[in-house]
Amino acid sequence: MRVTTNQIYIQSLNPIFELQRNSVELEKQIASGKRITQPSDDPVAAATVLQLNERLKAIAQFDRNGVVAEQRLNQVDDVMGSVSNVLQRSRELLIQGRSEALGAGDRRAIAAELREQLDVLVGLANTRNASGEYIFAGAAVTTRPFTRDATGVVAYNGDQTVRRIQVSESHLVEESFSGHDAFVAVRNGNGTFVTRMAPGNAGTAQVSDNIVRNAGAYVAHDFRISFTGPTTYDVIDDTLGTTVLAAQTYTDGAAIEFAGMAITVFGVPAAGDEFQVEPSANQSMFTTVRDLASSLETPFFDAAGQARFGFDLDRSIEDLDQALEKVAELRATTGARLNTIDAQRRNSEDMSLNLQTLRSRLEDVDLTAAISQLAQESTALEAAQAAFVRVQGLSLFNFL
Amino acid sequence: MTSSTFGIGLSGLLAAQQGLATAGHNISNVNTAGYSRQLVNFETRDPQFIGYGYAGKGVDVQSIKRSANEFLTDQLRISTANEARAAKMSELIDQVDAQIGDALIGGGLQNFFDSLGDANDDPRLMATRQVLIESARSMVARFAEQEQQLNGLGRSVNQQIVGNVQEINALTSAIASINIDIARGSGLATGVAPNDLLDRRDQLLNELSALVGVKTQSRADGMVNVVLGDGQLVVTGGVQAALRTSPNPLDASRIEVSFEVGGTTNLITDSISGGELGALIDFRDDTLEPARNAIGRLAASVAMTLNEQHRMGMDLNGALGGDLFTIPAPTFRSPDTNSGSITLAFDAANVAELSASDYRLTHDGADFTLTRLTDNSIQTLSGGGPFNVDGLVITVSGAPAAGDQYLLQPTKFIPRSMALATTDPRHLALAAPVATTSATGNISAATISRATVLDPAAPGLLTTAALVFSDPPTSFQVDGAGPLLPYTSGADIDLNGWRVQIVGTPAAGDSFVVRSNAGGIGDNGNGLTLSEMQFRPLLVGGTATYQETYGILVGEVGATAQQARISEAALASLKENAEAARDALSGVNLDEEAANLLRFQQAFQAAARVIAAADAAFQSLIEAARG
Repeated sequence: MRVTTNQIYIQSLNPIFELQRNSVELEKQIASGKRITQPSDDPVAAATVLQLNERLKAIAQFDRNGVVAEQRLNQVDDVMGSVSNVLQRSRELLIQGRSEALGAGDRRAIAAELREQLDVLVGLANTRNASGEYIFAGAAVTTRPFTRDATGVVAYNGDQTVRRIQVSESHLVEESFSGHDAFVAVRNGNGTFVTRMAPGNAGTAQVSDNIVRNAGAYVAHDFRISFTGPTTYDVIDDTLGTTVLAAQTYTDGAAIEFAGMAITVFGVPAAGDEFQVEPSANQSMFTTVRDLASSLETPFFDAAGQARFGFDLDRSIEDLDQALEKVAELRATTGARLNTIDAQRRNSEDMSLNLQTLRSRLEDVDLTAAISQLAQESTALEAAQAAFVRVQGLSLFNFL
Repeated sequence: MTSSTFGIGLSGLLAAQQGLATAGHNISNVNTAGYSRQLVNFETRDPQFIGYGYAGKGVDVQSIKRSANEFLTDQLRISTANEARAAKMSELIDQVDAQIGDALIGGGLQNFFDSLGDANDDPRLMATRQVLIESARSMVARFAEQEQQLNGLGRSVNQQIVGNVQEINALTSAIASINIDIARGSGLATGVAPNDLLDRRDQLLNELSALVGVKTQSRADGMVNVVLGDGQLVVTGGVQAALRTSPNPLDASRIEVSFEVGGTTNLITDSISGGELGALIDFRDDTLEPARNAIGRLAASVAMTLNEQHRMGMDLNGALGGDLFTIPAPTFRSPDTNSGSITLAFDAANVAELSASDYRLTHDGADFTLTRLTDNSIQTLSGGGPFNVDGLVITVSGAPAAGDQYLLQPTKFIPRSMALATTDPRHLALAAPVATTSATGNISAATISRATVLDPAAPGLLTTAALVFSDPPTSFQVDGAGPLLPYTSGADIDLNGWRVQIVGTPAAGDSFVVRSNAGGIGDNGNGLTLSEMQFRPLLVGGTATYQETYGILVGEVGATAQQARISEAALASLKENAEAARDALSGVNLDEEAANLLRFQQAFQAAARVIAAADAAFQSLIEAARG
């Protein structure tokens, strides 16, 4: 094949262009640290990197959310710890107040401290978070959730919607409890049923223990243990209007059993004395503490009055235990949520690291390889330039 | 005898002179584009019979030919057209690639959902709400900016098409006039070619090929016809027919190429291929417009899906959410000649079906035919409509007649007019509109779920409804009246446009209240649902999330750009080969010409010697005669 002057020129020049293009491309990669400077460099990797960036940013967002949720749940746990202390202190005061050695004045002094504990409890239930929001108001975060009327009855003004925080793509964590769930929806009695002493009881009979003997046989009806004499009683189902047990013999300190329940009555009943047995209902912690204070403040003058005092205090113990159990349950839930967030964070740290590694593999330039390749290209470029000058210098005209 | 020697010597002198002149011509044109080196052919003069034999009478220049091969010239012309198309294509796609690769829109979407995440952590705070509004505004702006960039590229393509057509016309005019010069050349009739004119015409044809793919037809008179596209004769011998450019009658933003035959103007844009013009047209149809449509589709889908969910929420004032974004109705274009008319709307219930294509809608007198332009799939729409197709609703009005036609560009212009509809942070509907509570006096521990909204337009949505369990608690009544509704733990209870579930064993008299969430300003129920939408495959037939839809576009454009780059390199090397092949035959080698100079110089000197020898012989004869 004939080689023409133009060909010699072009063919020496083309490699120089090519090498210069490569060098510029490599320089760009080394300067940016990225192998992909625009999608066409590697379309599949570029599209994948976009998705990875999105996932990474979402994970970062979930982490931020997790921090917020953690902070709020820790505050809930702190408050619940204090609530637990208040309830424990109330229980201690109850035990103290039950002592027969105390007089009415002593009991009033204990009741006064209980009233203070009640103030503390209401204060705790009205706790606000860093943003100034009431943490137990549900979604009505700016409404003071618990207020007391003139008679000292505490009312709940919030709602039952609890805000959730997204801590992972698939996981939402509730950041608190509504005031209803935390303070109001506490079961009274033993959690299943509750006994009440009829207002007109004249004997000294009281109830010591309320036990669910057979949960399967339990019927959530209103019952009544009605004493027909000091040693006989009937059990009536008030919901159905039927007599469950008739003309039973009463033994002091023995359990009266019906509908799966075992109720231990002791003391000496009078004819016409009654104990009502009802399914448990919600009773707020405030009511529980307030009722206890009222019981301690109410003086008694005879054996029947003392029996009623004893009965009321036993019921308060049941209610306080229910409240303490509730708090324990809430704290356990809070702990579980915190664990979830923690686990989620570890999980997202791992995932984040994996995704970053993957992204780096896809888009980052291998600097060592790139730099050595640039060196090679530079050497080749110098050689090509030298060759160009040499070849262009060859001409027959030089010898004419 | 001496006179013949003189004659022979002189013929040699003249021949060598011509050889020197031709070598000089070659050397002078070493850098002339399209020049073919020329060769001088010599032949012996007719000999003279002088009894004992034929005596030679010297040399004549028989011809000066250019060293060219029609096949190689054609090859070069074809490969030039291909290479020019590929190079232009690569350059154009690279711009889209770089623009889309900036992740303008992907970043905008991500910022929006990040801000939404922060707002969900503190939905009551004005600061987080304001940030969310700003990032929504910025997302809208990014869509518009991306559209503007692509639209700017579209305008530049239009200008380049106009410029290219002007250049093509200048070249075809020059080819027509050089055709005339060649035909007029006196040598042609005797079979002698005007080498330099032919070279010039080949070069013009080559330059034309770089602009647009053409075919040539040789004629007996030495002229060539130039054919473009599917048979448009732009040069017929010495006559040029100019191409024209004009805006598309349906879409004035599109410049079309037209050609006039016998007084009729035909649009020939689609039949043009090859060269820079072919690249511009293909790029516009295959890359730019689909990219604009895809961006538009994403904008429309994001707006419609987020709007729908936002309307299912409640704002800080206790009112139901409005639209988050406003988008214009899908665009269509129709000529004045249509008998009927249509209106076009998005089918908000089928956003996932939206395609990134334009459509042509025609009427044949009986039915409408809808052609999706990206894949030319055809649907026949019979009856009076409205027609729900591909996420669009076409409503027909008036009396459509045969020949009615419409160009539907549903998504292309969405980003341009997309705007933020909710600008007051208080109006962001982050809360769920309906709240549920269980009554404090409830005996059982049964619980009620959060409410989900099925129909934000239901009239009783925000009306308080108490679900009160009857005795026995196997059924419940609404507000303690009306029919007994059977109860199943965990089953959906749908009422007033909301849905709740009650779980557990309720007791008789237990009451669960569903009511307006007005006042629930700390709630983020709807905000969380909005946030989850970033992970839901809502688009492209329910297969891709927002970001994935954007990723598909980035991947597609990237792959096209990569392909264009590869074919540019391949076609450039083919063109180099064609050039090398042509050069090998036609190119000038200066060393060769230097050698030719030496050769003819020596021949010249030798011929001069012949004359000198003849002269010497003649002088000897004179001397002898004198002596």
